[in-house]
Amino acid sequence: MQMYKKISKAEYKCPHSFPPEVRRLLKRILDPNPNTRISMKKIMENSWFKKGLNLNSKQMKDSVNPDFQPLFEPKKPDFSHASKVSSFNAFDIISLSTGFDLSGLFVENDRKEEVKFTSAKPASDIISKMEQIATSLKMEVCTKKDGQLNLKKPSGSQNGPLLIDVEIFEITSSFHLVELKKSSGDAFEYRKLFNQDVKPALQELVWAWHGE
Amino acid sequence: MGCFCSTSSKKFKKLPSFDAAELAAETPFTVNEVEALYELFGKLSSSVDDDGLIGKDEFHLALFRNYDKRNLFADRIFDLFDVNRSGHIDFSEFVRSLGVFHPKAPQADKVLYAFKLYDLRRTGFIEREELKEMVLALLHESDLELSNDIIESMVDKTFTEADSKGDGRIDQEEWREYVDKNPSLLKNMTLPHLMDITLRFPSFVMNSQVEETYTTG
Repeated sequence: MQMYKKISKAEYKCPHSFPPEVRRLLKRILDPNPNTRISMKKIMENSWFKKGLNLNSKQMKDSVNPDFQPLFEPKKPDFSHASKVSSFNAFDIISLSTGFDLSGLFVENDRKEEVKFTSAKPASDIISKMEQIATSLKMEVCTKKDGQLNLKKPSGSQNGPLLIDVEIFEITSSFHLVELKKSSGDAFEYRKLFNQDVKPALQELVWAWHGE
Repeated sequence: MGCFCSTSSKKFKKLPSFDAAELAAETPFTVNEVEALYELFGKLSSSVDDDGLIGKDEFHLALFRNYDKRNLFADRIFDLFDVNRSGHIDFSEFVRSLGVFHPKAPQADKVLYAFKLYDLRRTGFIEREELKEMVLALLHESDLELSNDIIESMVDKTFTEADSKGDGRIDQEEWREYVDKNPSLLKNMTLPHLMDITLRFPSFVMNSQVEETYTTG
């Protein structure tokens, strides 16, 4: 009860350490009369209040603005989901090394059915390029899930249609690793298609071919 | 099948005899597959010197088609294959190590092998510095340059996930748990090529322990 009485009469004491401009500001804030009490706008214009205020902080900029702009900018449309790719941990990255790829013991390099390259292009560019290549080679494109594509080419060979899997991994936001491998079909046909058509067309995307 | 003429039919001078049945019993390979591996081994071990053993240079040559490139990971694999640390891989070591990469090899063997691969200094733990060293080696190999900050944060993130006991290093138990959650980490530990090895390297070993009919040239 005592406290409420004091509030309504603006009976209070400032600690000695409070500088005069603070006491003055406080007096105007703790004014029991709402009509004469200082407004929010005026508080923000007060010189002591503005001292030390980090006006570079976006949030502060917006809250200081009396026109009440939204505190945060509207979220930029999220295109990343369209080509969301698996992201790598350090062990995944290490396992990319050609030193681990013992298939070289069994097959010649140019006969390998799985190739990898790194790209400095965004995932969406990589995906569009792959789709473009597929269309020009009359291959059907199926998107299995984010960051994965399957390309299918019907084939007259007894091995059935040629199926190529493309998988895109994010190393960092500016580097991606792309893995291309034949999942089914004739090996000779795959190699021919890859070496003659696919590889040259991909060149603009490629930062480095792994194993070369 | 007829006579199949190829360079693999030349006799390899210094290859010691081997017990195919014993190797087959202790690995996922069949006797025929062991014999096919013998053919492959002969080819690989005679590319630089015909001493019946695969040296480091021959191993590199097989993987990279040249032995100029130094590769941390190929060196690790070589070291693991070379069980007795003789500096060369003999046929028994070759077969037994490749056995771990067979699709039918037990998962536990693969998990342990991968752990030993990454334990660069063979301390029994994967230390944070070793992980970073391997990431740097990979980036160097791929001509990728990432800022130290990015590399540090990548290593930190991975290490935090894997080092569940928080003691600054990954032990075998933590590794097993980590691999359980991230099975793709063992991708390199399986070589599908091993399933059709007899097709790639038809064996004409005279002392085949399995009855087959061949016409020898």
